[in-house]
Amino acid sequence: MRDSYLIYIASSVFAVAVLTLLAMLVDDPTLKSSHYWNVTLQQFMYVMAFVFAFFTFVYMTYVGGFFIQQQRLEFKTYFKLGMSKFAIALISFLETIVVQLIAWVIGMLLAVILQKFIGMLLVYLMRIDLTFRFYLSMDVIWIMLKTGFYSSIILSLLNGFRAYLILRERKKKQHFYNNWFIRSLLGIFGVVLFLSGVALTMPLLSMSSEIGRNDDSMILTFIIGLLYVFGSYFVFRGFLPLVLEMLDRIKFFSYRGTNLFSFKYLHQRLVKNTSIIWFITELSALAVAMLVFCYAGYQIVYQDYQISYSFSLVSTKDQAGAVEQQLKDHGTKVKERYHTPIKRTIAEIWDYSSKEYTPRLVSVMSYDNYLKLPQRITKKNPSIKSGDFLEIKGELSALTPNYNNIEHPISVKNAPKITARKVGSMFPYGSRMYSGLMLVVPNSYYRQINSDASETFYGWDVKGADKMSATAIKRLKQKEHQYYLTVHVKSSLNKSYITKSDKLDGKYLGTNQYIQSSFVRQEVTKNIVRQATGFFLFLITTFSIALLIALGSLLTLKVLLRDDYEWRQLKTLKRIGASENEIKVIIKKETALLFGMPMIFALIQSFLVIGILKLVFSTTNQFASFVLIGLSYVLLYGLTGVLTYILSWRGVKDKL
Amino acid sequence: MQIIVKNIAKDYGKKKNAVHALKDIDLEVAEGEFLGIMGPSGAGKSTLLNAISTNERPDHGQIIIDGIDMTQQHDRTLAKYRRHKMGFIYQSFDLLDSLNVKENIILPLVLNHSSKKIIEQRFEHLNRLLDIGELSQRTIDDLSLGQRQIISAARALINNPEILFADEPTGSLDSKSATILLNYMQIINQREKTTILMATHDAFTASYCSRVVFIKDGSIFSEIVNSGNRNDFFEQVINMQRTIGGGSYFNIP
Repeated sequence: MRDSYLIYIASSVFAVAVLTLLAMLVDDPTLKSSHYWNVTLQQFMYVMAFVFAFFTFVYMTYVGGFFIQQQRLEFKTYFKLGMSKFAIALISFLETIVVQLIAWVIGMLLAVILQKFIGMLLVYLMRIDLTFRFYLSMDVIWIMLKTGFYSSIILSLLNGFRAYLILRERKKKQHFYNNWFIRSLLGIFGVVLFLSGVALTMPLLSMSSEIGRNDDSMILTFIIGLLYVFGSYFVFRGFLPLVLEMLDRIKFFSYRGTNLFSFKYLHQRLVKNTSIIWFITELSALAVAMLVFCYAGYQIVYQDYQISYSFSLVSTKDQAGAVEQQLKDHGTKVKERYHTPIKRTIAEIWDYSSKEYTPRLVSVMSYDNYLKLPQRITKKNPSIKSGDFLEIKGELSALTPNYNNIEHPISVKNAPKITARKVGSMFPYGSRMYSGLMLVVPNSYYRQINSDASETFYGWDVKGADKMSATAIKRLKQKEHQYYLTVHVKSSLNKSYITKSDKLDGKYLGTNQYIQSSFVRQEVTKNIVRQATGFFLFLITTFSIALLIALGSLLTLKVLLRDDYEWRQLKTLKRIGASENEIKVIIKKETALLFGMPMIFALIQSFLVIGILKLVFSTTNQFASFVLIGLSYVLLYGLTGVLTYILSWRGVKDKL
Repeated sequence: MQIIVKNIAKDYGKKKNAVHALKDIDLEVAEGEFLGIMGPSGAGKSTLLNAISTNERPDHGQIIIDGIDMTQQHDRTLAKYRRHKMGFIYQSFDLLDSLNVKENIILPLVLNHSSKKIIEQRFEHLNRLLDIGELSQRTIDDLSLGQRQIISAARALINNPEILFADEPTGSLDSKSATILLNYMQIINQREKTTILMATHDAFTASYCSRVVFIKDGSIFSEIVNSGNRNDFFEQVINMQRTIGGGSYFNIP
């Protein structure tokens, strides 16, 4: 009882603390003072605080149920001694309100203590150069106190009602699925559903690589989700008890030590806790999937950003002088300067959607010049030797279907056909400076190319910030000298040509018309990316971890909640000669089963996120992210499981 | 198997609230003896039985069974000893409701990792002896109180215990069932030379014993040896009960 009291208070304190922290951050003056903290982020935080408040309430309602269940016998004894149902419900009401108010006060105090630390963490993740100051918002405290008061009243009323219901004599409902045979059939049906989900997840991974199948894949994902949700429920409800039943019937297994008892004991515990195990499994799978999705999304955005902005500042030849002058004027410390000449020509490239060769603009760089670029750029592409060709593609993160397909050779105007080549995604000077494809070619091949529109790209790496003022940026933009390239397709590739113009003929770019930016600055985008990714990382991580901890504690409470019947059985077992160690093993098995099953099923189900990632981002290499987050989840639940086992065993030992 | 209890004591609770359940008790039980332990409620009968059966550790003193001081043994060793050498019959039966009748009976052998063959042989033997064959697949809830106690006895005897502990074994039984059980215990005692220690406050039940020790307030108050005439012995037990109940106090030197 003492342990469950502590867990009830601790878990409520935790939920209240996280909720209060979020509420404090919404209204934090330090964040508001920063121009990086815009209204959208504040509103988003506000919505998240509401979402979290809802989950906190559901969680506390659920935990409160355990609390009352544990006192079932006491209440029944009071009733037998003549206390009225109303008086017992009132005791339950008062007890809950006291515990709830204590939890709210401790939780809010904890939030006040942790406020600066969490604020600093958020500022750090968003890479905002800001000193986060402690601020106690009386408005927030007042709102939280009011919320705490109302929620305590509601939860206490609920618990009072629960206590009242406990005292009512109820006939046991005979659900049709409680029949052993029907339950076993449902269990087998559940296994079929679940395995179908697993089997369908595999083709989903390959299905999404085919263009035009995305709609089908989305429907399939939805179907797999349903198969998992219902499949796992029936597995828990029917199949696992069936396995235990079969083990129990096979004397080879059951006639071994405590197995004769433990198979039945585990069976009872499993059947009794099916709903909670299933509920926890599904929400854990959701939390793990959310974490993997956000982590992978973060990586993709970050990778894409790096590909778009490989230098602090980049310009074309026309703008280079002006940029250099501004850097000098602002006293910017330039670490490195780079410049690379490129040639532009036309190449026939295989179009996977129309399934034919189409002439496109390509930028060409020589092998020697490519090697002069910083390693941080070249190492992100496959390594090449002096005689190799490297194709750099400009589609989002270079992760689109057929990205690595090199079966179709590239024909370059007035140059030999390129058959063998490697494929990379990291554009030197960033993808924002290029239109279309880029090729790194051997020096001799480079010399053979007749350039229709040559250019030289300049790049600067600065130390810290580029320090350019808004006026300077405006001035550079005034001098901006972007131009347009048009590929004129003729009867043959060699007859086609490129023209360069300062203005467009029409309002919009036509087919085979390209813009050449003259100046790209990393700083602004860098901040937006850092800010947005940091912010979402903070929110999603907080939410998911809180959810996982909350679910873990629910499971802990469920393990600790043994009724009298279960206690008596363990006690009898000891009296007739089972050693403490053997009973300990039973408790260990029980904890392992109750924690292990949700873990295994949640991990299998959340693997679906890899397929979803492929659909949404066309990314294939997120297995490592899944493994990383999956392992963290296993570690977190494993630790909760170990702690639960220790508490559970301590409780059992005390009573034996 | 000889049992020697030397100077054992057991308290429940702490400091001012402590209750002295056993106070420096000395007792010897000869191999094959059928010993009754009697006394009013709260006298310490069950505590003494639990201490000798190694289910509870005394605060001090020694319990020597077969030359081994049980108070010095590890819990694991004691558990092993219990399941190999001891059998238990409780007033509350202590049957496991989740197991059926057969599973309840064979549980001590299964805990011992006995082979399936031995398990079946022993079960069949008890089946014949106690005539419980038709109950074997029933659940505990389907049994009468008398049947439950017979099953409890069968479980206690399945591993051929050298010592049988019985705590108010007839407490929940009607007189017919009680007589059957007691007769059976007597047979076990005489034929198998099983040492039996039985706590009871029923004079009729105690009259089956070869010796009865009386406990009052945690100390041994007196003892009576059965001379062979059950009626006389029964009268002696009744008289001693009356004495204890009357409040007279005779310390055993």
